[in-house]
Order: sequence, then C-alpha cells, then structure tokens
Amino acid sequence: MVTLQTTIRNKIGDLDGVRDRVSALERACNLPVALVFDLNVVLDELLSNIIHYGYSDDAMHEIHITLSATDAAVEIGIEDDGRAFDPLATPEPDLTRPLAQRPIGGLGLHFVRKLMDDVKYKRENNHNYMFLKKNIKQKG
Amino acid sequence: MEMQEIEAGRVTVMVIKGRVDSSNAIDLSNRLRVLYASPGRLLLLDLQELDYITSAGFRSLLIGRRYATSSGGAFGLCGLTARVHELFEMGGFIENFSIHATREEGIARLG
Repeated sequence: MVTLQTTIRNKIGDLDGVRDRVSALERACNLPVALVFDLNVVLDELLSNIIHYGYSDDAMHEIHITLSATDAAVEIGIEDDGRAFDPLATPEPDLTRPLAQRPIGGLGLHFVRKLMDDVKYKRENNHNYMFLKKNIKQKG
Repeated sequence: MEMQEIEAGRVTVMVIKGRVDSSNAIDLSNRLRVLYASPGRLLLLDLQELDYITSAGFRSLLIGRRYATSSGGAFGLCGLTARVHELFEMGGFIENFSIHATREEGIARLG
C-alpha cells in the first residue's frame, strides 16, 4: 500500500498541492488515466465545497487529505473543522427537469457519488470526516 | 488551462487544454463573455485536449450557452473524450449542448 498525505489551508490556490499528490500517487502506483481523472474531479468538488461553504469565519483553517492505493482500490480521506456537512444528505438532482429549473449546486456532489464506489461520512469532535473509495478494475 | 482560439471561416474554434476546475473556471467564463460581446458569434469549443472538468467548469459551459442564446450566436462542443462524455451524461447535459464528434463536423454544422 502507498499512502500520501497533505495538509492544505482553506484557499483555492492550495488545491495545486493536492493535484501534485494525485500525480505522485499516479506515478508511484501506475494508476489508470481514467482513475486519475476521477480522483481529480472528486477532490476538486469536495475540497472547493469545504473552502467555499465550510466556514463561518475568515480565519485560516487546515484541511487534511490522505490518499492511499493498493492493487485493488484507491481511498481518499478528508478531514476538516468546518461546519457539519454530510454530502450524502444532499438530495440527488432531478436530471429530468428542464435545465433552467435545475439547481446547479448539487452537481458536484452528484459527480462524487457517481464516480466513487463507496462514500462515507462521520462527524466527530467538531470535525467532518469523509472516506471515499474507488475500486481499480483489473486488466484483462 | 490554456485557451487557444483559431478562426475557421465564420466559426471561432477555442481549443481548451489542461483542466477546468474550481480554480480556473472563472477564466473560461470571462473569456466566453468577451467573445459573445460580439453579436452572432459562432463558437466551437474543442475539448480533445481537456484533462478533466469539474462542476465549476460545467457552470462555465452553461454560462457560455446562455451568452450564445442572448447574443444571437451559437455554442458548440467537439472532441469530447470518453470520460468527459460520461460526465456530460452523468450531469444530464447531453441534450442541452450541441455536441459534435469532430472539429470538422462542428465547424460544418455551426458555420
């Protein structure tokens, strides 16, 4: 198992560091391109959500990210001290409605749920913890 | 993200390279606003070299679609890779955009 960790501040610019970690994991584990695509999308959706909507003050906060990979799966862990937010509790967007009547806000979390094989959330000690898992399809 | 514009007859092709996400989607929205300031602009976004796009990027595409409608122009997409196409499907956007298989086809349809 390969595990990489990084801590970022609640600044969108700090997401560069997260993408670097994804690239490092890609190189270390020779991950499929489609999986790297999914990891980048999911991390951008969840972390930008936390940064934009997670805090009720203007203070600096830390967000801890763990990426780990085995031959069978890649797992993402995210810990933040923002307001309680369970991404699984948001309703699925109704894609049958006309575009103009669809709230765009739920789209990112919809992608997260669709792209990952497992998503878990817990609130503990005033921190949000997310665990996500994507299985690696074996070749052949 | 890199945005490169190529004039192809009446159509402006914008090639997008790299990623469109929460940190740079605003740059795409801003560029689309400038381009659609000219009425009747026919714009084709070539996504062949797009690494990935997030919901922030889709927001910019929806804005582009709106600018096109309100300025009497057109907004087409081409060169969607398999994974990008899947995101369009997941988001329920296939019907909402004018999507063309190749740049040539897009230019022919829009022009």
